[in-house]
Amino acid sequence: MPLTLRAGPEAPAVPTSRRGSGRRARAALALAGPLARAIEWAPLAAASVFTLGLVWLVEAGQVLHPSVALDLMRIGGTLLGGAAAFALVDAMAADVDAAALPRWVRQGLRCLLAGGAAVVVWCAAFASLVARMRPGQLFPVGDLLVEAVVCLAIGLAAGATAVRFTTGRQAALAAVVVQLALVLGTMLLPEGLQLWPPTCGYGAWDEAHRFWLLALPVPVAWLVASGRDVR
Amino acid sequence: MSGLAVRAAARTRPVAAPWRVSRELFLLEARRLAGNPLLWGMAVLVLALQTYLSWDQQPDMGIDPIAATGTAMCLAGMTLLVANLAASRDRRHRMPESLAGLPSGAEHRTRALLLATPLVGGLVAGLVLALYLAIRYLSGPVAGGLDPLEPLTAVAATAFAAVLGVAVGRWLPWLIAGPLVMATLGFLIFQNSVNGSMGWWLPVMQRHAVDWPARPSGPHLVYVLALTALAAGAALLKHGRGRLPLLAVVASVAVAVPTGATAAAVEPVDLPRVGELDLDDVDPRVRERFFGPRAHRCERRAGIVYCAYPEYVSWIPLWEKDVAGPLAGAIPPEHRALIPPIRQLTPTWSHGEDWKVPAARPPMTWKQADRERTAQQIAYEVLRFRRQCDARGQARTLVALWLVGQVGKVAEPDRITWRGQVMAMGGVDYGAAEVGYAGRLLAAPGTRERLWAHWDTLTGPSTTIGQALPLLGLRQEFPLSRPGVTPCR
Repeated sequence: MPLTLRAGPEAPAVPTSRRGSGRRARAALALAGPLARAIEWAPLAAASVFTLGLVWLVEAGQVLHPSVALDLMRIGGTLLGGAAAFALVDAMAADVDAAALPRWVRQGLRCLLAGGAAVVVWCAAFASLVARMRPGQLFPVGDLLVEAVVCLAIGLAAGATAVRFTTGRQAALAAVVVQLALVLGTMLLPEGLQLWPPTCGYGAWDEAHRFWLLALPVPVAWLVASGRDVR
Repeated sequence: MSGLAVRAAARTRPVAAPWRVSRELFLLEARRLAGNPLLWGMAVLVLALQTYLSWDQQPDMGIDPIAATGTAMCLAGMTLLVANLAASRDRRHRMPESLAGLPSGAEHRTRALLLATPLVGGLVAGLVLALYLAIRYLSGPVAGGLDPLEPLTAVAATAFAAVLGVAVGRWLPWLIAGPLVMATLGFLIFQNSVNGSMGWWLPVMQRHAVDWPARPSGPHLVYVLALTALAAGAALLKHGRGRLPLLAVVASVAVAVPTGATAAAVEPVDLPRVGELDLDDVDPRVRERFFGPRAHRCERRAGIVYCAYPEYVSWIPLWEKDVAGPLAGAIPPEHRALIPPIRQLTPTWSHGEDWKVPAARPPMTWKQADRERTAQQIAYEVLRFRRQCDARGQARTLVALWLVGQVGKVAEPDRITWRGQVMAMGGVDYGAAEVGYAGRLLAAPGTRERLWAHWDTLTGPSTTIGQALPLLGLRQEFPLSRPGVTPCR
C-alpha cells in the first residue's frame, strides 16, 4: 500500500510557509489516487447496492407515496454515512505517522473520497425515487440532502473518533452505533420539536431543515477535531 | 503447551471435551455481553425514552406493553449489532492465525454465542420491560388488562435479533452486513402500518390502539420463537450439515409457517371511513365490548353517575377528583342535578354512540386535553347548549368557559370544515372576546359568589355579554364579534 510519497529533492518533511501549503495541496492531490486504492470500499459498495436495491424494490412498479420515499431516503442516507466511515480505518495508521503529510490531510482526503461517493450514490437513489413519484410531487432535494449530509458527517465523525482509540475495522461500526442512538433520540422527541417531519413541506418542515442546516457545522467541527495528530 | 500437544490431548479425549469447550466459551461470551456498554446504554435510552413518552398518560396495560415493545426494538437492533460483532470477532485482530492452532473449531464459538447472546439480550430486554411496567404500575391507577405475552414478545424478538446477528456474522463475512440487516428489519417494522395483517410476519407488530380488536399475541410469540430457532439452525449449518441444525431448521419452519399464518390470518381492524357512520360501521369484533348491554359498569359518587368500561373502573376516582368534583363545587347546589352522567366512550368507534343521550364522555386516555374536553362537555350540558351552534355574545358562554377554567386552560375551539361548513370541535363555537373575558373572570377574586348570585340571569340563553359584564364586575375591553349562521338557542 503506497501511502508515502516518493520524496522529491525539494519536498520538506513539514511544510509551513505559504509555498509549503501549495506544495501540500499538490502532495494531497498526488495522494488521492493511492488513498482511493487503499480505502476499503466493500462496505460502501454493499450499502450502495442495498440502498439502490431498496429504492428500486419497495413497491416496485407502483407510483411511490412520498412518505415512503422520505423514509427510504433517510434510511439510505444514514446507512451510507455508516458505511462511509469504514474508509477512515487505516490499517497502517501506526506506520504512517512519519509521512510527509499530516494526519488531518490524510483523514480529510479519506472523508472526501468516501463522503463524495456516498453523496453520489445518495443522489442516484434520489433521482430514481423521483422518477417513480407522481410528476409535480414536492420532494425537495436541497432539504433532504442537508439532512443526509448531517447524518453522513455524524457517521464520519464517530468513525474518525473511534479509529483514534482502536485499530481494526470494527472501529467503523461506531458510526452505526452513534447514528442509531441519535436517530432514536431525535425521532421520538415531543411534538413541538420535530426533526424528522413525515410530510415534505408540511408542518414543521421548514423549522426542522433550518435546524439541520444550523446543526451541520457541529459534526463537521467534530470531524475536523478527530483528524488531529494522534499524540 | 504447543499446538501439537493440544491437538494430541484433544485426540485422546474425543467426546467429553467439545461440550466443555462450548460451555466455557458460553460463560466467557455471556460475561462479555453482560458487561457490554452498548447494550446497557441502549437499554437505559429505551427505558428513559418510553417512560418520558408516556409520562402525561395514565397507565393502561392494554397499550403500554405494546408501545414499549415497539421502542424496545431499538434494543433488539443494538443486540443484533453486538451479537454480529461477537460472531465475527474471530476473523479480526489477527485471530484466524491464533485460532488455527486450537483444537476446538469455530462451531464451538458459534454454539456458545447462540446460547449467550439471546440469553443476555433477552434478559436485558426483559429487565427494561419489567422496569417500565413497574414504573407504570406505580404511577397511578392502572386500567386495562395486561396480556403477559406482549412484553414476552419483546424478549423473544430481542433473542431473535441476537441469534440473527450471529447467523449473519457466520454467513456474511462483511462487518457492514449487520447494520444492513438491522436497517432492513427496522424499515419494515417502521413501515408496518401500511402492511395490514401482513405485518404479523415481522417479529414485531407495533400498530395498535387500545380499542381495536384483540391481537393474536399467542401464535405470534410462538412464531418469533420459531424464527429464533430457524436462525440458530442456519448459523450452525455454516459448520456442516449436522443432525441438530438440520432438525432445528426443519422443525422451526414447521412451526413458524402455521403460527405465522394464524397471526396473519387475523383480519386487520376495520377502521371507520369518512362519511355518515353509525353502530353498524363499528368493527363487529368490538361492538359487544363497547356498545353491548354490559359494556359499562356504573357507580354513583356524590350524586354524579360514572360509567366506565369494566377495565377502566379504576379511573372513576380520577374523573371525580380531576373534573367532576371541581366543576360540581363551582355550580350552585340546586343546579348540580343538571350534571350529566360521566360515561366513557371509545375514541375509535365514537360513531356507534347514541349522541342524543346527554353525557360527558371521557375517552380511554386521561391526559390534560381529555380533562378539559370532559369539563367542557359537562359545562355545555349544565348550561343547556344545543350542539353545532355559535355561542358568541352570550353570557352563558363566559360561564361555560369559567367552568372549564376550573380544570384547565381556556382557548378558542379548534375548527374543521365539513361539507363547506365551519364547525367547532366540541360543538359550540366562540371567539377571542369570550376567551378574554373568561380569563378576567378566572383571575378576579369573588367570581364564584357573583356568578351564584345571578346564576339564572347569567345562564339564560337571551342574556348578552354586554348585560352580564356589570353583574360580573367587569368592564368592556374585548371587541365582540357577531355570531355565525346558527346562534345557540
